[in-house]
Amino acid sequence: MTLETKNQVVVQIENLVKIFSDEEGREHCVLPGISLSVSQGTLLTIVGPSGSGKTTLLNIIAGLEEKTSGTVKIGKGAERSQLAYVFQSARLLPWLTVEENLRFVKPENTTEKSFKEKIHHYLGLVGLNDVTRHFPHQLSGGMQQRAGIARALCIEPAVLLMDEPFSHLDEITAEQMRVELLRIWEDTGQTIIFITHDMQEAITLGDRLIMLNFHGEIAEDLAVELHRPRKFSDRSFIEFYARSAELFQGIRKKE
Amino acid sequence: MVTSDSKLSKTSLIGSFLYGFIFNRRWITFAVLILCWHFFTLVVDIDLLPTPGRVLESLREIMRNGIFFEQLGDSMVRIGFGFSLALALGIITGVLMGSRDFWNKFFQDLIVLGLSLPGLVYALLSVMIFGIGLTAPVAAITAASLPFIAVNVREGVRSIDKDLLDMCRVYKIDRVRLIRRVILPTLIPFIMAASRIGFTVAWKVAVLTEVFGASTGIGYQMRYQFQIFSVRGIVAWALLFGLVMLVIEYGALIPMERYFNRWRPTIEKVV
Repeated sequence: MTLETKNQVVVQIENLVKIFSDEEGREHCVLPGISLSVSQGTLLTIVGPSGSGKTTLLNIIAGLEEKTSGTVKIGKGAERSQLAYVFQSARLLPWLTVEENLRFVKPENTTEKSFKEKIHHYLGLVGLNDVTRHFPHQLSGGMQQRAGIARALCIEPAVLLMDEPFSHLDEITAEQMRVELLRIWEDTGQTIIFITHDMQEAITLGDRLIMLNFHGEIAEDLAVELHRPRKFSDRSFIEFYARSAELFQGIRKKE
Repeated sequence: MVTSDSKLSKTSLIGSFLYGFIFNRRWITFAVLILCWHFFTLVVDIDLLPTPGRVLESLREIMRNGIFFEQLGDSMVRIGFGFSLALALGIITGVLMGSRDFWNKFFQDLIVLGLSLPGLVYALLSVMIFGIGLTAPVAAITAASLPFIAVNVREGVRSIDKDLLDMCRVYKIDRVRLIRRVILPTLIPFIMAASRIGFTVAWKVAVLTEVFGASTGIGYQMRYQFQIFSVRGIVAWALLFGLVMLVIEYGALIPMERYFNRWRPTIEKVV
């Protein structure tokens, strides 16, 4: 990857405001005006206490929720580029096989043949080549989530959004999945925005770490310059973790 | 990690029915029933109560002169039209009720009324209004089974997974694919359940309508047997009627359910 493409901005958010109105007409400001740009190939992790608007931010980027004001630009051109979203649960169609689930998201401008090749490539990348004809219920939770990730990757999106994708898995599986995700990220150079409430996960994965506070403001925006593979037992990791945890404590205390 | 057996292979249906009938001891049900019946006729001294043997004679008669398939055919045509119409209108009504609050409120009380009115009311009214012909039974069948179908389909629409719809929005799934791959597969089990109930209701109302306003069909045959006061005739026709229902159950409904449920985890042993 050249330096030029590396520095290309794929997500540009300016002054993004989101205000909810409840049934009694009271207004709740979830995002008070976030500005953020993400460059090509970044793995950005966002941590924040629950209720800080992490998921709302991701949903607005994905077009699932309406923003109140501000701009969100994705991709290079004016046209809204393809996005992919990996949810907390895999959200596969239970009546379709793994392969059919991937074929389901085929973008209009892709030919059947080339998409089929992509499907097999990415199913191989997540290690699901042997179960392409299985139905979701025949897979373990971790494998279902892998299928969800393969589905997200096979459309080769401008940005891959992930909302606590491993939080429903047991810790051993989650740990495996993190390693796999990093391997895939290094293989593909995919831009990823990854939301979590787990600081350790955020530091293990991210090369940029954003902390949101209770008001939905960006409280910290750190570059994570730790060498990979990262281990929790590494001295540098522990130091970075301690510093981040302290910052995060501070953010929480201000509430 | 993968569950060991997929259980997707299906044995042949007639084979599995016969297997179940013979080896799962389902034949016992029928044997006990016939035996009880036989002894009951011996113990109770009522001349009119036919023994299984005499009913069998009637059955042979009905089957021998080809009258059965002729009459069944006439009934089936009525049911076919009425049930198809009920299914089409019921699905439309159910989808409207499930997706739009206005239509739900609009149809709500009509449906409750429709569900609770006895089939006899539809049969009597339609014969009085439409006279003898195809319209009367079709109208009665449609009116009687539509509410059952609408209610089930409404629940189906409500059960559509909002998370899956969100997923489809992110991946920019077009309308056709959304309906074909997400909406329909969700609705099909509900439509199947609806058809099951709706079809049973259709049969019952069809027979009733034929009793009052037809000169052919299984219902008419029953009225005729009633008029000549032949208990064994009625029992014979009822048995054949039941047999047809079993054939439809094993020949059409169960295979369809198996096909549509092939992706589901099997839950053969709950208890």
